[in-house]
Amino acid sequence: MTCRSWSGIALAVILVGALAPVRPTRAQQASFTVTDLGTLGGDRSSAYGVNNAGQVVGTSTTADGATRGFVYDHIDTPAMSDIGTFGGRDSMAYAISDVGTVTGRAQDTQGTFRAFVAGRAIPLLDLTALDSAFEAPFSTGTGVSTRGDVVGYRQRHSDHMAARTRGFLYSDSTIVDLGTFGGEDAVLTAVNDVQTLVGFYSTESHADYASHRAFRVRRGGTAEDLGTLGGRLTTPTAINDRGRIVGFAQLPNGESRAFVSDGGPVTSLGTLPGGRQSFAYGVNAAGDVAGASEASDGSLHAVVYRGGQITDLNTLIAPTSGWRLTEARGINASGVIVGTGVNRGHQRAFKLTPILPR
Amino acid sequence: VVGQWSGVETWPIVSVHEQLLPTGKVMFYPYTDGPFLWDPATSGVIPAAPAGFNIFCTGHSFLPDGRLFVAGGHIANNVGLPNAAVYNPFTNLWTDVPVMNAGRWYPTNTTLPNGDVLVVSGDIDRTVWVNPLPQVWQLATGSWRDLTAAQLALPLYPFMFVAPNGRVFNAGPQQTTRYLDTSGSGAWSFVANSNFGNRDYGSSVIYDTGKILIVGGGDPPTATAEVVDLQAPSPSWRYVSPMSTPRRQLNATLLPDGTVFVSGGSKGPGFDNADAPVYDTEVWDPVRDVWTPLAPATQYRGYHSTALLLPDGRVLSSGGDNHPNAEVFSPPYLFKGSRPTITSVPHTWSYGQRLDIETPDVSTITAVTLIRLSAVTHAFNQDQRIVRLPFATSAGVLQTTAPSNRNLAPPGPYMLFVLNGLGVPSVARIVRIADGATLAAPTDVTATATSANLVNLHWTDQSTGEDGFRIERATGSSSTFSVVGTASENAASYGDATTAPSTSYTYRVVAYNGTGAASSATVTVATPAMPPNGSTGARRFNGTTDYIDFPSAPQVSTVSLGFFFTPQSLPSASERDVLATYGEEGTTEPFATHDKELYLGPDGTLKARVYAGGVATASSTTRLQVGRRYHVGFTASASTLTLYVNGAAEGAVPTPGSYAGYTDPMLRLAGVPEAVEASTTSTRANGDISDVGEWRVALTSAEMASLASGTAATSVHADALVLAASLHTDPPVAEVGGPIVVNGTTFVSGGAGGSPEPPAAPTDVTPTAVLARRVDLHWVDQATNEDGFRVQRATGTSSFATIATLGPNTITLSDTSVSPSTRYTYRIDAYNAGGSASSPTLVVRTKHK
Repeated sequence: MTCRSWSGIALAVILVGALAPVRPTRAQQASFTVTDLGTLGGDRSSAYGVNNAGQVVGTSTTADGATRGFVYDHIDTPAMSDIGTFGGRDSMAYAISDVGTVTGRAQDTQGTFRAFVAGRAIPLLDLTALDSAFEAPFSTGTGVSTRGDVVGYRQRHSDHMAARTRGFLYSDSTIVDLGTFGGEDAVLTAVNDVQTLVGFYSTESHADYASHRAFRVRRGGTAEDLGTLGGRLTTPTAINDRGRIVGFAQLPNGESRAFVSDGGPVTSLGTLPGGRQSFAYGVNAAGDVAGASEASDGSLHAVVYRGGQITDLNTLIAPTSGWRLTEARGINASGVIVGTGVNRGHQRAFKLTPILPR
Repeated sequence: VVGQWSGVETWPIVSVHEQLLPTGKVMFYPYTDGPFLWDPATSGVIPAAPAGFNIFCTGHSFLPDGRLFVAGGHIANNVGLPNAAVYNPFTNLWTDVPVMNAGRWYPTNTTLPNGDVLVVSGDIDRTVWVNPLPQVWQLATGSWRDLTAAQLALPLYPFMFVAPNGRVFNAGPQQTTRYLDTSGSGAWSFVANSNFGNRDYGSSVIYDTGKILIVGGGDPPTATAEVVDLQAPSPSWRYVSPMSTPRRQLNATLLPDGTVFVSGGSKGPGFDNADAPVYDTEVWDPVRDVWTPLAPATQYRGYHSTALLLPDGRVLSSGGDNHPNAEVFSPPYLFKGSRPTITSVPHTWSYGQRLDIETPDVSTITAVTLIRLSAVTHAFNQDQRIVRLPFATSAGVLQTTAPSNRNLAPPGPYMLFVLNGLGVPSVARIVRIADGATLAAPTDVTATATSANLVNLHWTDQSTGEDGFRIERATGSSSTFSVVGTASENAASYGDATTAPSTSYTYRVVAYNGTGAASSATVTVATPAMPPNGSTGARRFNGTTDYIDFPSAPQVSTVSLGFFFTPQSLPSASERDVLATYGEEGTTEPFATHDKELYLGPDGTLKARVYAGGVATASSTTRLQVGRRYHVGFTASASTLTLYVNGAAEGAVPTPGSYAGYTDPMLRLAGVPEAVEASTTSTRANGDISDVGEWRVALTSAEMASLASGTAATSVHADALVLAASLHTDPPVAEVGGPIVVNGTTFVSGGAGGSPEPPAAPTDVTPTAVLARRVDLHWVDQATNEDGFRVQRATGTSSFATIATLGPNTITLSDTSVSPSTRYTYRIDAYNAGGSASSPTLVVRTKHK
């Protein structure tokens, strides 16, 4: 495995839709090949997103112990590329659009994390430096659409008692403060190609991390509350272009449960048998959901929700693979699923590629 | 009897995190990397060494040797640091350890039966959310072990306890409760559902062997409480009597008699409803299942509040957002007559060891309990637990046995209480349960005569079970050793400030505990002749045209001042030689109403004088001699003025009156200008002054002695205005609250008077390969004006890289970032704004795995 700089790679054209989406007809019959995406020289990696071209983003440790955002693609030799930083040590890449636009957070020379957007052959662009009003002690990009819209949030003050978060949208080369959607704090987590945004807002003063509710909002529109599963926390994580929203929500007993919403109140996606918690992190155009669920062994297993069924992805790979798939974070139109697992004792980003039925 | 609350003490910050250290001091820290130490005996507060990363939102528990293991940290809300570090309360030093797999914001630490530390939960950020990977910090290897088969998304700051079966029990706050088997790659197993539901920001206590209480929490808050007995065949949760009032954001504190004291919290709906505070306190008796109301507190202790049991049996309650203060509760058992006492007990215990506890109250003792030292934050104490010890009585002795089951008493520091039939506890002795505690002679003893009046000793601690070290000295050719001082357990240095010029001394360092002592080899050193004035790098002041003002805004009623002073001459019979004044700046002239003054009289007697509704003067018994260097200082609290010479308290007088109304206080170093005080007999500060420190808190005798020895802990300097001869400030001028003026010229931080002289290079660097992944470094600080030290390391043919930057006066570092069987070259670089100087290089090879 070689490591290379993401922004240093020659531009290659990505043909959106050139890879015809292929879905297994029945999840239980599908199987995948599992690819260890390697690392940037360290001993750990995690994948957080995949686009329809099969490019993967995530984080990896480096030989000197830093954590760096990566982009993994298969244009040439399959390899991770280091997304870089703003002169600091660490960065994280969390989302990638179908045209290869990446967002996340990267440290500057002072150690401050700053929201960025990047692309092939395009260095990291510091989003909160575009407007001095956005200067913040912490900011991050969280979602990106193929149209090029980026959402994220920033914390406005480093002092804990004064810290408040506000969502932003970067669109058409301009960053816009979208405020807090009726709460004291708000975080935007994803955006789709029709500029529907999802996120969560606080319901308590100074405690969004202990109590928040999910919303969706069309650009320029009014936020719509997505309801709860009875607990204090409802957290959307992804939205597809058809408006299907997934995430996880707290139950009254304090456990989390994966949910789906098509705009109405969130509904539970359930868990694997014997599990008490589950999470949904990614959704593709067909509405299939990547996530994680506690299984009967009491630990998290990567799962896919498809056709109303939840399937343990560990049952869909070769039993001799040596992998334990912990969580699935992204799924694309081709059914490629990425996430994090343990490969022979090492925490690694994985990529599952469907094996087409003969 | 409902107990009694003390008055409210104002603290400099909100105590979000709080730990009782084995030194008896309480560490607390706020939303930043700004820890402090509180002394229960004096209520004095001094800054502790910072960790070097933001330790807000960390988890914490004690290691077997009494050091504190801290994991995680704060970048932003829900965004955690992957850092971990160990705080040594005996040396006030932090040591970084390798980072965790990812960030953790709100993790829980649990010290395991083998002394390793489990760390679970904590958010990475708001995209990845909680870190699902439990990790175990392995003491033996200095590395992390991943429990890869036990990845699970736990709530933030989960309630975790070592259970009798050796597994770690997760009691909430969610309804599902589980065991975590930390062996191998880890495994979870379901135990039972609790009854109430989500008890977020409730609390939980392991109040007896395998018995766990969950209480309060939820929204709206509940008054309910539940218990589980993990030793039952099929453990299940059952409700017990509820508290008298619902609470959320409460603290639950184990008391020496096995009851659980509950304080603080809100009874109103919402996350942290300060409009519905619960001031009432109550205590739960698990034997009778009865809650008893106790005296109400006066402050709202909600989110970010803390409470812990003190060795004297009181409960410290402090913090909460917008509440930078503390109050102390004396439970009813302190009002039931005289307290039993412990006169002697071994300090370090091995598992299963038979022990004698000496007490004059043998006949009245009905219970002996151990309570592990607290490490509390966010409504959950991650380390407290109780062990009841069986005992038999003999003449003047309680015969007991240290716990033999490490699952019931993981290794580390505990408070030992004996209680009489009325439930009155003794003041606790802090003991330590450890594996294979040994007493071995210290090695690598070095003695360096830093000056005619100071010899610095360093050694390598080879014991794991010492109570402390005796520093013994013989003079000249004599073979008779006498004790010149003691150092605490785990100490590695001592400064002997009682030496005479041009004298040969032989030292030995003796590790001791209740069972014996082990002496090092001897080392001999000769002190130099008394240096000529000014040669120590001190600045000479004439006090007439040469003086320094520190405009600042400390608390006028509590202040400490200390510095080194070498008189050039003694004042005449009609004069006072004013070294420093401290007080209010007058409206028309400075120091018209100064309220504290340190001066030298004609006979060499040092005097500290306070003016506040009257005059009180403390006088030294030592008469300062011309040409000799002394550490002088005073600590003035609202009640007492204490004068120190070379670290010894030589005079203490009551403070005469109130300081109310004083504003804009100012320290003036070196004299009062004649023009101002012409009508008095004040003259000048005729001598050399260096290493000036001013504190806005009362220093203890031990701290003043530490300063005088030249081996001051970093904490003593951390919040001080430190003025070295080169006129730089530490911390920066922003914390001073105003400019520094010398002879009418205003200076800024680091630039006063131009660049300082570079510091002297450290010497006697001794790298010791302790483990395959640990190298301990010691060196001798030869500088008096360094800003700090850079520890630099090279491997093979590589160039040197800085692996740690340390504060001034630091003399040790444990490098745990090394690999086994590897050759490393080290050097120590002392630096300040004027430059740096490197020690010679030293090579060490780490051990095999």
